[in-house]
Amino acid sequence: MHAYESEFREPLINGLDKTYTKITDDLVAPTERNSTMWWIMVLLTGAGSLFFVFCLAWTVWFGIGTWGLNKTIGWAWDITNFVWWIGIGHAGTLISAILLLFRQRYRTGINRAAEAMTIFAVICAGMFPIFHMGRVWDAPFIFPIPNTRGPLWVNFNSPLLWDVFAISTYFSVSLLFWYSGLMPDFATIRDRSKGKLRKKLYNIASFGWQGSAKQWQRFESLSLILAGLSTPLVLSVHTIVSFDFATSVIPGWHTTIFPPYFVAGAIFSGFAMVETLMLIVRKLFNLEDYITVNHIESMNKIIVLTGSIVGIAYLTELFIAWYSGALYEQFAFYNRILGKYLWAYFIMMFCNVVSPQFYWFKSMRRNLWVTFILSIFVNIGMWFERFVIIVTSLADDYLVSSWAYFSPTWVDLGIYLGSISVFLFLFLLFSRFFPVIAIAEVKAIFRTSSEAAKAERAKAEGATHGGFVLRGAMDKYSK
Amino acid sequence: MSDKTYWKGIEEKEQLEGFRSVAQKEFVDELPVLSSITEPISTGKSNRRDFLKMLGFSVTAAAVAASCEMPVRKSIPYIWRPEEIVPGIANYYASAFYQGGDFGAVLVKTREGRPIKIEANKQSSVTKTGTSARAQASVLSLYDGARFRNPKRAKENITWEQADNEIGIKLKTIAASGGKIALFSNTIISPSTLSVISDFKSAYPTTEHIVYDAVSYSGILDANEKTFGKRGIPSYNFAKAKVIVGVGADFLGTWISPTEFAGDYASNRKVNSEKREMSRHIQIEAVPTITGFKADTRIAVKPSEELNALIDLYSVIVAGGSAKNAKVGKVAEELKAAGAGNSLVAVGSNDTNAQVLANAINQALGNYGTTLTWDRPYNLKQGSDKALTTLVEGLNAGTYKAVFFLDTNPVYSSPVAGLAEAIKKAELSVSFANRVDETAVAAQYVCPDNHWLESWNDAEPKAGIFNTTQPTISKLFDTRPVQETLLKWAGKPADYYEYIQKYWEANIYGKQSKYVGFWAFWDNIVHDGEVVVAGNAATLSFNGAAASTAASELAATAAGLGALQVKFYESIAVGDGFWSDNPYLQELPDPVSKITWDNYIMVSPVWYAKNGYNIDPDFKEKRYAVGKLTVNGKSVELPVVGVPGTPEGTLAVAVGYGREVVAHSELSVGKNVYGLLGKSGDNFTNVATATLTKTDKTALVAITQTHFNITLQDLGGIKTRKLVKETTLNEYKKNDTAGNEDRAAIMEEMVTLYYEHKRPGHRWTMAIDLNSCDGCGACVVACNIENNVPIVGKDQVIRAREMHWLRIDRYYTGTVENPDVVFQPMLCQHCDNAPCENVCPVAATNHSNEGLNQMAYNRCIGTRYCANNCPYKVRRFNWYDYQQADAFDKQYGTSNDQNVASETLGLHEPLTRMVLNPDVTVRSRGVMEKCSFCVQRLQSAKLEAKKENRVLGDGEATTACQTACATGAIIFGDRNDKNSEVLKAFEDKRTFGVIEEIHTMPNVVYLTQVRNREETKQYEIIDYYHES
Repeated sequence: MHAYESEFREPLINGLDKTYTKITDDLVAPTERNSTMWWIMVLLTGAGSLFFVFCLAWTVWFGIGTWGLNKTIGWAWDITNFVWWIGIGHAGTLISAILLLFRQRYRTGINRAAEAMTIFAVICAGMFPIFHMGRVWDAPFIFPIPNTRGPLWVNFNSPLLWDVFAISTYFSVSLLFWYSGLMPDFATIRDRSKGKLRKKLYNIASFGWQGSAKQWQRFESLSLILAGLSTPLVLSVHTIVSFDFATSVIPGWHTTIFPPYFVAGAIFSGFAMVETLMLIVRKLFNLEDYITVNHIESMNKIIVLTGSIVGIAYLTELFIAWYSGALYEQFAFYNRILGKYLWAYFIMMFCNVVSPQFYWFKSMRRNLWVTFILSIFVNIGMWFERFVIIVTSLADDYLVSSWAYFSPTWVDLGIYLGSISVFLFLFLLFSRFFPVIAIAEVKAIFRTSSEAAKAERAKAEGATHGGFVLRGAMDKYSK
Repeated sequence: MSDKTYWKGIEEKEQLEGFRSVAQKEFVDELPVLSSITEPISTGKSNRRDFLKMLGFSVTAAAVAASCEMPVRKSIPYIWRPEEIVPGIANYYASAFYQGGDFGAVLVKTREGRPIKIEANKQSSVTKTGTSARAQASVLSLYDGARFRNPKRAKENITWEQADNEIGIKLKTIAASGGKIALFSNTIISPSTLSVISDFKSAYPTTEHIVYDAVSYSGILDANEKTFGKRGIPSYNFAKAKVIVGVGADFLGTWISPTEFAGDYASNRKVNSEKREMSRHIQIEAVPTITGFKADTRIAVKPSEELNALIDLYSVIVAGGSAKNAKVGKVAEELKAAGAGNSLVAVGSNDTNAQVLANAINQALGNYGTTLTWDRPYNLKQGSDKALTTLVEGLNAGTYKAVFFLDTNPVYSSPVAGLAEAIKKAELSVSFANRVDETAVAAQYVCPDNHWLESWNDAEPKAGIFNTTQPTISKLFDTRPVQETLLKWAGKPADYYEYIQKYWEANIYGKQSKYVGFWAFWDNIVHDGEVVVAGNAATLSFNGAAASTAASELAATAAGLGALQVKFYESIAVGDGFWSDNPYLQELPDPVSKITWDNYIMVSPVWYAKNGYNIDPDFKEKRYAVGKLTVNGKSVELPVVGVPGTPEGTLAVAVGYGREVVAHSELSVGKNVYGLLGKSGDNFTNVATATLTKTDKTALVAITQTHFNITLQDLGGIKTRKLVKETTLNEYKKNDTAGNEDRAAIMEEMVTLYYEHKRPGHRWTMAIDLNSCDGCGACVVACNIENNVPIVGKDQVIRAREMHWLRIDRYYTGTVENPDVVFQPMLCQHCDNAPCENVCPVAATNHSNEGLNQMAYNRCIGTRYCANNCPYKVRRFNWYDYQQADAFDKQYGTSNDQNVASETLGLHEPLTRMVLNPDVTVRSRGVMEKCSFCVQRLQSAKLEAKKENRVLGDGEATTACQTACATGAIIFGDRNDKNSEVLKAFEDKRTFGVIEEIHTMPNVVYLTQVRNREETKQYEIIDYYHES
């Protein structure tokens, strides 16, 4: 049943010693051993998460006044963080759904972690719209639930309400997709467990997965259905988030280009975050054979593509502002580039547009240090993109009399850094108790795309080079 | 009608025993709950389980009820309802306000016996058009926690009997020894009080009544004495003048009777398509003021040049010479061309010589008898600067053994040093202040006077115009009207109410003929608040002998001033310092600089940039460099602020700040500069040679309107935004859409695909005439008081979180050195196509069928999306619990913002909260709020009309800002009413909406500003901070 794959194609699983058993051993290993490093990191990020809770409690107890907002700038870091996290949460679905539909096999190495990252990023993102409310205790008002107040209904015209639906849908589907994929792997861990409790817990987590053919058939169908469901979500979530701005009247927000621009930006930042995490995980858990340089290079290609789309979007905005002749629109962009927030604009431009251009070079795409540093740059740049859009547009809009400046307080900072801690904390828990690579799916491509299989095939065919050595083969080919 | 009875069954028809007993019960069956309690367990229907259920429920209920701390709310019902008070219905009482030198004939609105709002008395012949910001804010001082609650000896509380006895004995001893008693007061305009003082004098003949005004008008009084033989201020009639020339006189803001002047001034400057005429106003001034900015032509000169300008006017108009300053020469020619009696020259200087010249000029122009009349001179300013020196010297020399301070705070406001120590030398010193101030602390005794809203009083602001002040609330504390105190000490019957009546019967009743019988007269006058009797002779003979010497002396004074000159001025909000403990006024942005909670050194922006003061050009922090101002060896350090229109070489600093003895340290802002005032002859002079050195210090200044540093050409259209529109009279005469030509095109493009809502019924609309608005800020404070708008304090204003629903935007046009200014009151525009409404996820803000953009506070969850999407930025968010509106108790004070005003300013105190308008919800933390068009006032007007079964008339429904506005700039009403004023304004050719091209369809429109002058300036908003 395995499709033939050219030997010139770079293998997705490295190591000539790989067997199904070895794969199982390698991938389950992180959940079966104790690690001091892990404990240190969990404690650190746990403390950070507690500080996050503290800052939120501070906000709720004293009021939104503890943030740096003012009468002119009603949103700043709160919604910046929200959009940033939602954007990061984009890669997971893209990898699991769209790449599945496009039959990109390299997704198997990274989809599990990317999906987990999505879930955690969306959790972090969701905090901000909730806690940016002045009266968070009345948050249930945003749900269209029958009530005794009339009934008083929500306002279906409001993009904020669309956000509620978009994000909750996205979260539910992503969670379902992620979890259903985990079931066979939980069963694998269960089957290797020695402790009774451990066995029992993983059994419950795997919903009693037996690995029967019928189950596998249903599993595959469910994956495809969920992939089909999530594909439009990849486009819709950030489109709807962009409507928060695009449907308003504020120059710099009121822009029709926002939906594609936001989606491209989201994929851009999502892949960058996947890279940041994966580069650490493959090192920490000795997974270099499964998350190969080939994987990294593929992701870098997507980053240079989406980064360039974003760059074109920035330039298009500027062109349209000039071309429109609209007074306030022109000022908004003029002010963005040369106003009091120019530093933010130039950080954004450098990180998002200039830095990914290194990836036109193969050596850069395959250089892990470059990739790691640039992935951080992209994340910084994308945060600034949202900050630039939200804050500079609000700070100086129509009436000159109301212009203002935003400076964050320690609470703003605490909530932002705290949310990163929460994200990492959840990811660490995930990496310790869940298989960070989809075992079953990796095994599914073992016969076609692994180095071992390719070597075996070459041997059987009596290849003269005596086993597959990629680099040598490639070199020969290119000569 | 038949009296058939219907029966439901045999039981009822026959009235059987069982039926009757059941029918009388509310519930036919026994209630099971009750049975479990009332019946013994063994015998009843209830069993063990019911008992346990009951037990469980009652224990839980008791535990819940006992463990939750329920707030105790004290409410006491009326046992006997006062005749006039209907809960929920406001009563209005005519009264007269005269506090801190500011007069207003007013109506006091009370609710359930509490005064909560001041409205203009439209029947007044002095201030009928509106009120000042200070009058509006004065209700708060009634409920000020800093008020004295009883008499005091030093810091010790005593009773009135103790005070009367001790002071009585001391007075007798002093009188017996022939020691002099000084009664030191601000100008007193109450004839009855003056009569009380003369009664006191007859009991203690050594008493001297010394009158001193902190902001001095000695110069004008002395000059009139010299030239007319009468120490007084004639009536200025700005409505009649065709050409008005102001020389350093801020007559729209602070000078003599600004509320009256503003009304008169604006009445002659209203234009429409039919009447394309208005007066011409030229202002020559050093300190930028709203008066200067409203002028058609403003000539910005240094303080010394103000004096030279006056000499120029004198030499051209009176002496027949020529002017050194060509611009001033042109002004003089214009004055001459206006024709006899058609002009008015108002001079603000406190230099007697300057005022003598002003009189000579007005005399030569024939203005006495028309625009300046002596029939009703002002009583508002009578103080003499000499008085203060006399007092300090007398106290030090020991000639004054006793000193009383009435309505004055000289320890704070004295330019003469050493008053506080001198007071200690007196054998007896008493302050009648009703709240804590520097003089009260220095005096031995405090015998607190009532607040004006608690007292009977009268007033004579102008000769022959008498007003009554009536109490609108029973006195809150153990205070006593100062008149009763003085009468008591003089050994006279001490009932001031009777005393006033007797005084009026003897002295005023006879001068009128309208009412027959004193009581008919009295009742009507108290109801109306005013009676006008014959005034003095309209003209006095002019003696110009002093003029030529005055001119040469004045020239010498001007020449004596150095290159850098400072001028001290009175701020429109806190006045001479009397109001600096009033948070409503502290938070009112100065109309010129838009700075709150501080005084500062105003300088020319050009000079400012040149000398390196421009340390925070983007206003990221609102940080300013601090400069050290030195005058005559005395110095003060204040932030230096560049304000366009300040001439180079001029520094301007407001008096009235830096009060040290105030109830809360947050109210002690700025620096006291009274000590820096100079002296010229007997009078204090507010102009002096100064030096200014930059210090290393910086200060955060709570400025509410900041422009940013965008000066590279007009890229981005910063200069061509048509937020305000203006034209000149010449253009307007030719074309009544002048300045507003682009509107036709905008309206043509106002098309929509959507269904347009029909708007039958009322359609509330506001039109604001930019030509009339002088930016004074009375509307802002009126709005605050009417709508319980929180005061947030200096720290929060620095963080740009002021809560004002109505603000006044200030736009400059022209050059930095001498710009034109347009004031634009900006409030919720109640857009018919409101961007805020569609973005609220919970529909907390929505549109009424009368065109109001409404807020449902209870529904608001505080996403702030509406505020972000408001192109006018008029929505205000409750960042903290500013007025203790919800269950969270006082938690903000410990947060990272320390100075949230409400705690320190007492808005959490039950006493201070009495100022809140019960018709308006106090907003809790986390909700958005904004202008409601005073919906509570609209509803009550509609109800009134409905009760009387008639159509609501035009002008019945009013907003608080509208009634406060002295210039009538705000026109409000129902646009669907064919005869309404607002429809006329709405359809005027000058009308435009702010940024209406984005299709917000605002229900607030503005009318183009028209300036009466030849040249046309091209419109552009300038940015002024960066000229390098």
